[in-house]
Amino acid sequence: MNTQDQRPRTGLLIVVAHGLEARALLERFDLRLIQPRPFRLYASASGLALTISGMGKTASAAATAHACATLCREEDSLQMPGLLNYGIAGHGAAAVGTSFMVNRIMDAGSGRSYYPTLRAGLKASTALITVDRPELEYPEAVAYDMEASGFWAAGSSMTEPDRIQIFKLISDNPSQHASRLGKTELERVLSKAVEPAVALISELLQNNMDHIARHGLPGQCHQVMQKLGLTQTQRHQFRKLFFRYSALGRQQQWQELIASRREPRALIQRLTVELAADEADCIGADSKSVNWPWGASE
Amino acid sequence: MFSALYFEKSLRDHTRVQEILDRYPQLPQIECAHYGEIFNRSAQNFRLQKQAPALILAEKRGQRVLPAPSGYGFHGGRSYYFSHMLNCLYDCRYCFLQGMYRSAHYVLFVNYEDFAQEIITTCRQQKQPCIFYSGYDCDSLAMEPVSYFTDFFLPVFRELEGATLELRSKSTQVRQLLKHDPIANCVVAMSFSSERAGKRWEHKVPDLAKRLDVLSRLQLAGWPIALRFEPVIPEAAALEDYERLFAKLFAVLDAGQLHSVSIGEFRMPRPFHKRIAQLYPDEPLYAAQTIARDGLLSLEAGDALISKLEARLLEYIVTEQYYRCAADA
Repeated sequence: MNTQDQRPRTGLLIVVAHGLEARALLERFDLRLIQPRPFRLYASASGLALTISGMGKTASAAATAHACATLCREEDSLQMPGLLNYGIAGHGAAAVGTSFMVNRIMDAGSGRSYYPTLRAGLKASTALITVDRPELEYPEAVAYDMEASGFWAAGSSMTEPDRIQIFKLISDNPSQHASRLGKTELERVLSKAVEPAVALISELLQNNMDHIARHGLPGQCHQVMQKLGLTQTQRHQFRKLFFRYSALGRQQQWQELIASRREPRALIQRLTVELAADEADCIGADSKSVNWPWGASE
Repeated sequence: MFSALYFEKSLRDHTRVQEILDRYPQLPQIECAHYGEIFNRSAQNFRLQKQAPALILAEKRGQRVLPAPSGYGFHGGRSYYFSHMLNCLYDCRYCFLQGMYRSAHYVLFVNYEDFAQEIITTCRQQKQPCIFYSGYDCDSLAMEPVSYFTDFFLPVFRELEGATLELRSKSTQVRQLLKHDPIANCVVAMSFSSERAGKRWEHKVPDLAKRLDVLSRLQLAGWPIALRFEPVIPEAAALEDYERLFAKLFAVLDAGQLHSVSIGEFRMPRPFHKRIAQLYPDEPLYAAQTIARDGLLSLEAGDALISKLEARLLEYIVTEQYYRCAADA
């Protein structure tokens, strides 16, 4: 049974604040505009999407939520895309041009902290403070941005926090002040981050596509659910039953059963009864006489 | 070994925290206010985190010594457990921790002195022997090179009359243990599955030969050792597989000197089972039919298999050494 949906899925959504931050990625990943408003939203055939939020945490939260709602038909967090906030940041100590994964986000306004899950073998990570106005004093040896906490707050309400990452490129610091950061300088800095960003995005996209495929229903199941007009509860039951049949290697039986029924309640009942029939067969049975789904051979 | 180190801000100057931070300068070291900010947040994915767990250094507040669940462990006194760690280095697909915790990160509670004080107080309040289990929420020994758990707790139990400590483990990390003289009231209990079951369900666990070797060395050194065959997962060849395992173990170990031996079937609280089934939709173990008893789910034919295994086991040991892990919650 193919667990890949037939329709294209979004594996990773990138949220950037500025068009300038997006430019190289749009070209590199062949992202096409699919929605111009309220936030520009781009998507590729490979399952990548990108939205441009504008500045500030409120805009970032709104763009993230909007893009997720646009791209995903299911509210199940397991089916949501992974999320990546990519963009420039100031830093109290790090050199301009260096890049970091963020290991802790502190919201300067609320005082709340959030902790992205770090990947193994990460070489460079930094704490980050999301501020409401540009930070020009850099009081701590951390990164400063204006979006990450909003992005995280919106993203973590929709997808698993373990699939949300923040990647920042340092554009300014106490010796190379943000006030002197022009467009040309910014483009030069951003060009330095393209290769590490591309590598990261490719890896995250693959991991998230695998994750979504593992937990997703095949297109045929969606068609059946739609055709039969399953209620939300029935959809949950149907989904659970699909995975059980699939894990137990009973794909053929599943196919036959779903082909034979046209009424939702009867179908779900039949699918349940067929699984339970095995239970009746093996009550009080010897372990040898039960056909264990994990088999006997190695 | 870890993807990152988190530590509670209030523990920044704690000696154990400092030692661990100094030992892993290359890892991201991240300050937090309370370990629950990372460990207890909602909607985390245990399966994804298990690919790269972090170590969280925290202080255990509140009650540190708790009554052991009914049916857990051997007879001989009031049973308690304490958890200096949450989660396990290994990745056993049958493990209930996958469904119990939201996070796969390891939490190491570094305030050992508070645990010791509460163990001593609990023991003194009882007029009967007390058994303390340390391997309920973690593997007692697997993180020993980082935690130095036995270095601290063995002297506590050596002096504690009426108390028995069970270290339950699948680990070969016994170097620290062997540096100490054996303690009569400290039992090292090693969990085993058949080799076939181990290969299928127990990921990252050292192989049987290595574990048998360290168990033998501990027994020769004079440590009380115990065997735990749990959880037994039924399959067609299970009886023969366990017969082979018993033969291997008892060819090396002195059965007469074993502190205790137990068998328990695969069983799990329903909510944990549900959560794990969602994490591993492709795992037949959680798709298979179960039977419910007192809120616990177990597999068909598990009970009948256990009875047969008991009969085989009692060819090697005497009844007094044996107990069955009860199926009550």
